[in-house]
Amino acid sequence: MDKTISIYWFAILFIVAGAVIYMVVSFYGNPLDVREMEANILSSKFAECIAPDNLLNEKFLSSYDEQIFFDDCGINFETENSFNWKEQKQYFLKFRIFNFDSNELLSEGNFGNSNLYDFCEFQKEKEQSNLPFCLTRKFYSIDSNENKFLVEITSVISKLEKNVK
Amino acid sequence: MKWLEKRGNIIMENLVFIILNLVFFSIMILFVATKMSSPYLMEEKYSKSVALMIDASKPETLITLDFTDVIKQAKKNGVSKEAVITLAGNVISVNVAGKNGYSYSFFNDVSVKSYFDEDKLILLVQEKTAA
Repeated sequence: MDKTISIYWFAILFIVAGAVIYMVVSFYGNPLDVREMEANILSSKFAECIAPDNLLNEKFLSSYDEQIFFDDCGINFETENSFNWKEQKQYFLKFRIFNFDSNELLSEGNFGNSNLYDFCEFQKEKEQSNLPFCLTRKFYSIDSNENKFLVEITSVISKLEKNVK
Repeated sequence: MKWLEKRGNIIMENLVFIILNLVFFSIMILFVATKMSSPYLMEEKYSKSVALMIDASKPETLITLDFTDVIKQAKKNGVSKEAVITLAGNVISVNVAGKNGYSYSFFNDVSVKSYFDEDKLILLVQEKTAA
């Protein structure tokens, strides 16, 4: 009787050990996915650049050069040289400015690797962690003449190899 | 005297059983603890969190981070305190395991100075000056 109990007990121990090992390995074996936080910070930083103190920077209403954007906004899309990231940029930013009342598109611009934006279309209904992370934020802004605008910012961060298994 | 012998056997069996269980659970706890304090995990965790902190910082920000555990682990692996953290351009590398380390980039175009005050890492985020 005692022996039978011990056999069952050790069987349970092995099952418990297997489950613990599986959980620990699958939890710690996956890289930490920080892309959502990165995308949030990138959106906030860009929002501060496009509308400092919520007053629209009117430069963004006309055509906007990519290099001026990087210099003005203090953003740098260079990455470490791993997984061929130097050639394929890991970031993308898109902005659209609408007239708040008529919803007419007044200006738009793209910065970074525009191929990444295509993945956002696939994820409109359901987010997929094995694809680049997309984040869209909208906010209201005014210009110096108190005209009202709706600004939409989409940030996309890839960096899949270091954030997703 | 037979009953006394039988009682002795029962105590012995239970004792062995309890010891085996304790050994088993100790091994489990040790396994989890080893995985949690893995130097590779530490490298990834610290490089990503420092990169995120720099991203979220405005110029003239001073960040102080407690690196006691990291330095202790790095010393175990033969890495000096000065070699634990490296900043090259907008890429931060943390080396704890004594191999290549873990690098992660930040997009905030700022100049960052890093140094240690005892076991605390000090990061000074400053505006990039034109060269």
